[in-house]
Parts: sequence; structure tokens; C-alpha cells
Amino acid sequence: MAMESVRLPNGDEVVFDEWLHFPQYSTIEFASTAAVNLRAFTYVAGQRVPSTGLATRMSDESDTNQVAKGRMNWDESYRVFSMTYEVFALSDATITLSPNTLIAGESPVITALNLRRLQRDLVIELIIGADIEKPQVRAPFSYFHQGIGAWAYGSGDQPDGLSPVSYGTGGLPRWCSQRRYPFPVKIGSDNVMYLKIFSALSTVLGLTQDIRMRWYLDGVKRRPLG
Amino acid sequence: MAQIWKLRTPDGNVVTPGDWTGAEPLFSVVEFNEGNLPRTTAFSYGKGAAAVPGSIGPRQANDSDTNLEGEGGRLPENEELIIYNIAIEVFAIGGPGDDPADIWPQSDPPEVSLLNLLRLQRDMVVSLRIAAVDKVYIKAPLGYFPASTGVVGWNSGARTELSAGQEGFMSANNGSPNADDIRILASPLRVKGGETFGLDFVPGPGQINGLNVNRQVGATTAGRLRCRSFLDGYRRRPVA
Repeated sequence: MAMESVRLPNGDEVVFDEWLHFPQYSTIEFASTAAVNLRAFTYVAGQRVPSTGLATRMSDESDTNQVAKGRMNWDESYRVFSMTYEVFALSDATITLSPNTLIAGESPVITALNLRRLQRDLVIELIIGADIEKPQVRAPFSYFHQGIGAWAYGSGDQPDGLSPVSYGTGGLPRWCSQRRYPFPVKIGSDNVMYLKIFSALSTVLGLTQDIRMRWYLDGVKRRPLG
Repeated sequence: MAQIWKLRTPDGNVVTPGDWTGAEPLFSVVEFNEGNLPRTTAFSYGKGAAAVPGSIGPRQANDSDTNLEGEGGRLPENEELIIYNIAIEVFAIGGPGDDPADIWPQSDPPEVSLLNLLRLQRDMVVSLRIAAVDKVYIKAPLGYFPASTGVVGWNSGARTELSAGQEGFMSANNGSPNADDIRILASPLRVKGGETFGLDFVPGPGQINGLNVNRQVGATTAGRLRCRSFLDGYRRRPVA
């Protein structure tokens, strides 16, 4: 049924008018050996994708749907009910089995091992408000679940009789796997906002693939009337 | 199930269902090849249309391609749609491709290899337009709209026909194949009778980078990835 109103923790009641279920997404990239401290939602399509240790590239529609960099546009507003992500490898993961070098994870597939390394070392923070350092969301990467992804099934052994195969997802890739917040997080009109992705250890220890992460704020968005 | 008498949509309108059904989703197929791709729009054609967008040939639409009546691109005057779910299922068709550039072998069509599915999820952006104002009502990469259909495979030493029994595979589905896992919109979207609408597919980089569906040695038919989109929810149809 249609959602008509939501009461926020501070007592405000938001009456939904031109509010739509509208995911907001943004991409960052980093090399396997790079120190990770990046900010998503800080650019619009056509500007540089935040990255470290990799060649810079300009973003396109598949990288972000932000309409203002680093903030919610003045005629928009957002309520975050959940956050999720996708991970794509930008390089292959290999295993050396003398005399062969075998591909354990062919790009864009990330191996389960590398995903677990990311879960161990990365921390995620959602910052809202100018000059505000208090995160509205803060948790290790493992706390967030992957509601979006490929549901894979294999032939039962090494597909070419030689290469090992590994593929990992952050929980079962189903939308209901996404952790939902008991209270939505409010991003007001024109509020500064960004998502900080960093490694507590500077780099992600042992990571063997370059990584692209596309983060989603999942919730409802106030859109300008057409 | 209790009968639904009235529904209030986010814009304040009250819909009084008449001959409504929740058992017939609207669906439409589009197909993608390797290389540069234009904007491709599902629901832009009706039943029996001369060309399925992106298809080989192109081919004429059949009953498994769409159930949209009329010329396409708009809902018939005597219908109405309240969309609670958007789902997209993916098939590989035509020449399956076993490109040596892909180290992991391909799957037999219509199964889609994990590599190709991830490439599609990574690059393809989907947006829903309603009415002639060109306003986008939801826009997200394709994986945000899981199929909620598909196969759960268990295999032991399976081999592909494509490789004449020499190689295995790694296949994938666009998200979970369970009906429970269809994406549910927190706020339903309404398409009134006679309104124009369309589900646009635009690859962010201009193409699906690395897509590999048609390069099998000796193959004569170019392959495609076929996406069948469902708009699910409540649908008012003409009274018979």
C-alpha cells in the first residue's frame, strides 16, 4: 500500500507527497595495494570517479545518479532506509600452480577471499551536514549486505579442467538481505552528504584484485514536480 | 485474499479498482548485442510488432516477448497499472560465444555466464518514464531490479554442449530466482490509461564492456542478451 507518512526519531512527521522510492548510487575505485580513503556521492556524471592507485577516468550514468556533487540538491530530500552495494573486480585474481598461472577470479568477478578481506578491513561512514564529523551511519563493511548481485551456480568442478573458480557475494544477493534501519536517516534539502570508505589499516591486507564499489542509498526521495 | 476497494497513491489520487487483477504482469523484451548500443526501450512496441528492439533480424514480437496491447509506448485507454515491482530476467540467445578472451568457459544458452551477467549489471542503467513529461520515476543499474525468476542449479561435473562435453561453466541469474525476492517499491507508481511510458536501457559507458556472446568458432549467428522486464502490481483491464 502507499506510504503516506513517517514519524522520525526527533518527532517530526513527514507527509509524503511527491516522494518516490528512488535509489541513489555512486561509485569509487581503488587498486589492490592502495591506501583506501575515498568519498562517494561527491561527483556527478561526467566528472572524475574518486579513485586511488588507478588511472583516473570520467564517470558516466552507470557510476552515479547524483545531480549535485557532495550534497542533496535544493529541490530534493532523502530518507535512507537501507544501504547496499555491488563489488566488481577490475583485475583478475591468480593462483600460481607451477608451471601455470591460473585465474581464480576473472574480472569483473571478485573472489570470495578478496571480498572477505574487504569485509575485514573497510569501514563505512555516511556523513550528513556541512562541517559535521559525526557520522549518521558507521559500521565495518561486513555489516552491510549485498542486496544486488548475480546469483551464480557452477558446473560442479573446474570449468576448463584447470582453473579454480571463486566468486563471493556479501550475503545472499537478495534485496531482503539488505539490513534495514529501524529509523530512517534524514538527508534534508541542500544538505552536504557523502559516504566515506576507508581502510582502518590504510590498505586492505592481502587484497589481490583492483576493486570498483558502487554504493546505494536505498529509500525514498522527494523529487521536484515535473 | 480480501478484495481491494480503494488505494491512495503518493500524489494523493484515490484509485477505485474495478476489474483489477494482480495475476497478469505487463512484460516486454529487449535484446543487446556486443559493441555500441543506443537507448533501448522496453514496452515501446505492442503484441505482434514487426521488430523487437535489438533483436537479430530484427524479428517479429511473439507472445513471449510482450503482452502490451496496441501500438506500444503507451498503456491502452481501457487499462491502468499500479506498479509495485519491477523485475528483469536475462537469457543468452543465439551464438553463445566461447571467446578465448574469456578464460572461464561460456554457458550453454539460454543460461548466462556469470561474467556476462556481471558485465550487464555493472554497465546497464534502467529508468522508468511515465507520461510525456519525460520525468524519470526510478533509475538504477539493472541489478537493482532482480529477476525473481530463474533456475537454482545443483551440478556435479556437468559439461556444456557448447564445448562438446569438454568444459564446465559458471552461470548466473540476475539476483535471486525466488518470487519473494522481487524488488518491492516503497511507493507504487501509477500509469493511467492512455499515458505514455517506457523502461529505458542505457549502458553508461555506451556499451556493455567486455560482453562476449557471439564469437564461438564457426558460429554464424550473432548472439544477444535478452532482457524480459516485468511491471508487476495491480492492473485494470477491460471488462470482458
